[in-house]
Amino acid sequence: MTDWFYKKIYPMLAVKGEPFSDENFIYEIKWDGTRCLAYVDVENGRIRLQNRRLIDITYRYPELDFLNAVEQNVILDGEIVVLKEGKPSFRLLQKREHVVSKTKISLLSKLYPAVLFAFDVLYDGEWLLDHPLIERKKILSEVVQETNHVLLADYVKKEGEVFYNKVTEVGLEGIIAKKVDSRYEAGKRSENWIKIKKRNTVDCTIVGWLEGEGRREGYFGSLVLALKDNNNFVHIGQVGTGFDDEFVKSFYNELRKVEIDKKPKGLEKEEFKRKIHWVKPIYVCEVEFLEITKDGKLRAPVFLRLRDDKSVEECTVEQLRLI
Amino acid sequence: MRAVWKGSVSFGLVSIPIKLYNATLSKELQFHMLHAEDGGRIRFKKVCEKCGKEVSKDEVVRGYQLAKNEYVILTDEDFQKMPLRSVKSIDIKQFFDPSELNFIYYSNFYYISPDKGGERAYYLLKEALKDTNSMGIGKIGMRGRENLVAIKAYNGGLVLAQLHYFDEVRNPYEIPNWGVEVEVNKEELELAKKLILAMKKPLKLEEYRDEYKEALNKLIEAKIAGKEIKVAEEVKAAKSLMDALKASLESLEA
Repeated sequence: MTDWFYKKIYPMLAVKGEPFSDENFIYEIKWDGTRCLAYVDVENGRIRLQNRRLIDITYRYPELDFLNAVEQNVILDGEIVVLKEGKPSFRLLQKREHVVSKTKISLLSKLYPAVLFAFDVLYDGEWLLDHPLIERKKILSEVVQETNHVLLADYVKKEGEVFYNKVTEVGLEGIIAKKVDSRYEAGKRSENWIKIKKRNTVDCTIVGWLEGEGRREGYFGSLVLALKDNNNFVHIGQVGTGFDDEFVKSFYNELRKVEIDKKPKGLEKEEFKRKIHWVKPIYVCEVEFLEITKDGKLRAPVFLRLRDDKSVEECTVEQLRLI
Repeated sequence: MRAVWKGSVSFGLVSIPIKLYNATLSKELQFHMLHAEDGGRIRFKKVCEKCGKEVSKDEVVRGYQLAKNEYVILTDEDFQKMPLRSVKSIDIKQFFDPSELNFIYYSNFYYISPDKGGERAYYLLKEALKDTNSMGIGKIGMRGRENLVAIKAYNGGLVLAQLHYFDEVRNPYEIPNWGVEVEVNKEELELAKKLILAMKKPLKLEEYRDEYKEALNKLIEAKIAGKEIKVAEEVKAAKSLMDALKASLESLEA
């Protein structure tokens, strides 16, 4: 039976929350990278990696040596990151995305090697989705032999608040609290998983760009951001910092290819101080911000990264309501 | 992998929403020009020969050269008036037996995948083409050109082959010494045939690799040696970070 190998599973998702301590929860570091379900078929020596949109990303990370890490067929849930000084680097992970050439992938896998922090196991020959989390954690630690690329995400019990403080003190993103007796709710944003992050971030759709000046002359100065409210886009401001020159130049070329005349639905009345170039709403980016202003815009937004693992449909206004 | 085209295939009353993906990976090793002195990327500027000024996209029109310094000018408006009908749909005009299409007419290949809601019709077309040993032919509008394309069942799916138009393929008899016939004796011919048959074996295409590219690749790899992030050290750092965090919790409890 190889049905399990091609079974498409949407990963379980977390809701946002504030730090708390509860003995019915365990707490993990929130490794920020690309979510990945790893299907490892040891009998046939094959691997299938799938992102949160079910898109195949196996070809991107040839260095992830799952066949050295497990001795039985498994489906692992985890986060792919590129480490720098022991912490995940968005900037380096970004270099690993959008690459198609095998040669380049092979070179980049040596220059900026990725690792996967496995935090859950969904299958080990039997389906484990209905087993309580703490049992799955036990199975996970038994089936995975850590390698340099496949690692186990450690966790602590009960002391959520202190853990959160310590984690953010060393410069990591935040933590995830998970209910000990919870089952794996595939595809659901569940109250049983709570992400607690220091910074406010939002995933938004890039709907256009404003012309730059000075160093950015001839490129974009800022990206115009929007969120979906049902079928309409809602403008939430521009982001003009957080990217390096290299990114500005390469992404500018990509944006030029998808310029459109028509304004995206819902943005027909928006006015801008500089000349705006509308683009096809296909790019999603993660942006950090201080707060939401009274008129519903992001205050002090900073660009974090492009996210090809999120769809435009997922970038809804709901995200801001939870803040 | 990103689709290069999105539209539909239609024949008779059926219309199938599809996406096209490149079937081949080309230009694996691509180089950019950099300034030797400071490593800056070298960019081309569009400069007018006559006045020496740099021109922007809006200031450019296209000219069809008739003779030296003699052009017929076409503007964007002219192009917009052109009838590019088959823009978002490939209309299949007829089906035919694959053996009727000579290999010389094939150009690029694309894989066709069914877009949302098209899975069933796609499957039906694929199976029916296979069972009747047929291919379809039609036109597609891509990058401002009207291309001739053929659709064929292939390896579990459908493949789209871009074709050369009939008049794009040269008659080989225009080539010098094409089709010459000379006197040969039977023995010579037999010997040549024997040689061919002796060298004949099942084709394993994977045995033929681009060795030049592989060597180039090795060269590039050697140049980045030493600049790699040492994953073992990074993993150690990440783990000691976690250990330190845990230890600080324990000391708190104690």
